[in-house]
Amino acid sequence: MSLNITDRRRINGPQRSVEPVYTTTSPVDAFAAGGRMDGRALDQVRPIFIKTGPLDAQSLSAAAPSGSAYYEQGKIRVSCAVYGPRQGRKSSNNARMGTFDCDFKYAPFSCSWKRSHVKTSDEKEIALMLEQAVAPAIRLDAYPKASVDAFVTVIESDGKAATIAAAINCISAALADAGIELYDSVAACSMSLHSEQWVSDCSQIEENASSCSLLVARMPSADEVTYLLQHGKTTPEQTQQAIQTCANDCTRVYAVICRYLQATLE
Amino acid sequence: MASLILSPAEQDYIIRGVESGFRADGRGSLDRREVSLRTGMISQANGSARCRIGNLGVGTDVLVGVKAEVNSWTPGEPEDLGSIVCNVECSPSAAQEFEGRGAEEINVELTQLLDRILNGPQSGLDLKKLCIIPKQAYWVLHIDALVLDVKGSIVDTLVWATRAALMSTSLPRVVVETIGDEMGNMQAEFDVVDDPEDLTPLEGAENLPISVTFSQIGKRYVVDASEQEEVVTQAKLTVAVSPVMEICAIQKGGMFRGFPPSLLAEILEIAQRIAREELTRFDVHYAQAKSHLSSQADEPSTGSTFLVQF
Amino acid sequence: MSRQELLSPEGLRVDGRRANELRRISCRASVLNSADGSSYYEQGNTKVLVAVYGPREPRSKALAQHDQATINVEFNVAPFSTSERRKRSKGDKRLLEVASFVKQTFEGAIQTTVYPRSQIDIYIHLLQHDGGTLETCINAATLALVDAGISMVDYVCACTAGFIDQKPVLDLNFVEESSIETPDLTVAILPRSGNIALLQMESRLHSSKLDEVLELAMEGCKHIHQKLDQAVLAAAGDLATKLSR
Repeated sequence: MSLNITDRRRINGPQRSVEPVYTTTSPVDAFAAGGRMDGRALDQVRPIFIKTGPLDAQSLSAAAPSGSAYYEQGKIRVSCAVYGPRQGRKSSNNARMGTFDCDFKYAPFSCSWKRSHVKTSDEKEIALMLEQAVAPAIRLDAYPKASVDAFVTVIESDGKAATIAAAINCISAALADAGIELYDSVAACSMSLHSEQWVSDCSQIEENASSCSLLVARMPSADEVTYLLQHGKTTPEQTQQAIQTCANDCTRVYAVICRYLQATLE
Repeated sequence: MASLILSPAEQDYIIRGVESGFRADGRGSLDRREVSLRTGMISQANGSARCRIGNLGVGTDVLVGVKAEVNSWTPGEPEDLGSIVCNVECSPSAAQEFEGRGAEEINVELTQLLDRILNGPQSGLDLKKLCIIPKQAYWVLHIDALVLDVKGSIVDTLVWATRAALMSTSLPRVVVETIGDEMGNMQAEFDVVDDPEDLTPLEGAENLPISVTFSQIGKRYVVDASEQEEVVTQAKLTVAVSPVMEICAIQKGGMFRGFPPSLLAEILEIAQRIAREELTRFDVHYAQAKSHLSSQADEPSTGSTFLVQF
Repeated sequence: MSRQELLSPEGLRVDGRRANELRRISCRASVLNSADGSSYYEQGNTKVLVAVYGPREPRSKALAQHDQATINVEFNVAPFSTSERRKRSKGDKRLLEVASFVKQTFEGAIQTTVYPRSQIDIYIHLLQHDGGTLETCINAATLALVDAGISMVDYVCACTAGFIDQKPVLDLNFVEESSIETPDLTVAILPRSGNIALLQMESRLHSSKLDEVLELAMEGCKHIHQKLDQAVLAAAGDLATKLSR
């Protein structure tokens, strides 16, 4: 008997695989010319598409989520289902407040390489980030002993920081769709640093060429930064500047989400 | 950790204290606790350190071992860079809920945070120096941290201990030879010199950043939160700052609140000042740890920190 | 693997010891401040850190026994402890086995009936590994339990012995115990009564030689007992000076 149990349920690719090498122009050349590979301006966020309720029950089914959303930003596609408020699973030692749990998964085909269907530690960490970014917006004290759970699936990713930002926006829309009491919606945005120049909402190729990426999640009406993540080296002035710019971008994204949510009510 | 339960009255006492600039243990809002630091207690590792942050001998206690291994290059990896792999494990001796698989979530969180600070050019380490032969072999530095006790400010203690461990790390010398085969192709080969005396210290370890964690309590914030203060902390912000005052990583933590932008700007400002003070303090402690180690070198005992008062 | 010379013609072993010689032992109680009892124990290059908590309320009600304390042992091997880095998962069978040996050994030595409905946790960290894992774990745990003030019938002292080239040898190191031909016997005794609390061997040894090897191991246990006793006295003396200050 072999020690390695092979997975018979899925069609597995070869053990080792190498992605094909495509000829691409470097994003750096485009930045030098003051533009970007996809023709956007440096501070332009990719176009956003939102739809709430794609996973909601058509008929009365017990498994249907209480709210869901689908979110696109350029090539990024994220879907999210929210369950709850429902009976808390674990006996939490803080019964006065509800809990918010998040589950994050990249689909195996979502990246340029094949991802494992088993959850990796970076997916676990992103789940934790999402919880920390979105939980401040939820009125958890209104749901004692209950739990609100969000399940996020990335269908296609393009840029790690931008994908996390998209996931945050998607959860916000899904929470609103589920009718969870919120202080405000959380909107998130990311940036990357390319030789002293901040570039908004970078794709994977652009992010790979950058020295630093920054993610800001914000509740624009309450004016609170609910998440801040910087990966890479900058000067303090650059960070301050980027937080400021990202915050403004968040407000713009927030406006898009709010306009959509309002439209669904009418 | 979560095992500590405070009554609403105790929580209120801490929150109002912080808001009026007082802390339960008598510190000011930006004061840090005492640090104990020792290096070189694990002879089988290439570098090791133990750091405890806390007053009166009780505090967060972290043991870090650095082990260097030669890895062979596989396609898809960077061609001329070494790599750093972090791994943080919280021991059940820190809190009972870490028993069994209970520590998994916090282990992932701390491992990824440490990786974000160290793995890349932001760490100040020259990863190119860790490459032995491009497209063939490179060094992997395994940084394994064991958290023995948690009494607040776990990230800062972890970064202190890791910084000290990497500064005390030395790698064996590697001899690279280029041999031409009969086809005229040049073939590079290497040999790791197996001599415990022939070691070179890790380059660039003194450029490593130090981290400062701010905890938002009520309307104000404190640095180096104690165990009690962490219970009432609504949001945390860890800022890693390098010796040349560059910001190497920022990460927010905590589930209950966000930061108002004015507070954020203030924190980033203060983070630099505190980081500068902490780096000076680190240098003093590290020099002490070094001299302690060399004074112990002649003793029959292997100079472990556990055998003397720490 | 070619057969390595484990015993030189002069009767010296790979690390220069004689056949009946123990490795250098240094130990200390009360090394961690927040644990109820703790100890650090090194025997040659094997280094172990133990924290003991308890008797305390069991983590879950299901663990509580109405007439005695439950002993819980967790054994963790630091990834940097071996010469080749190796990270072991929590469910590693070998680690669970060592933990269960330690647990069984102490179930006979701790007066569990004194602490009904409670739990005693023993957390063991192997910081450096150079053979004799089980013996060092047991010795270190004894010291930590004494430090925690938990009622015990007696100390539990453990030692290994093997048999190389028709000669019994004491306290095997990593090179010696990983040699296939060397039998590796671990014995733990309660020194006052001389009762055996644990006897474990995974390899082959001729029955006529067993007495000889066991005798030597028990002799080693008695030496270790003295060392542990000294460490306990030192810790008590330390405490006494602190209290009188």
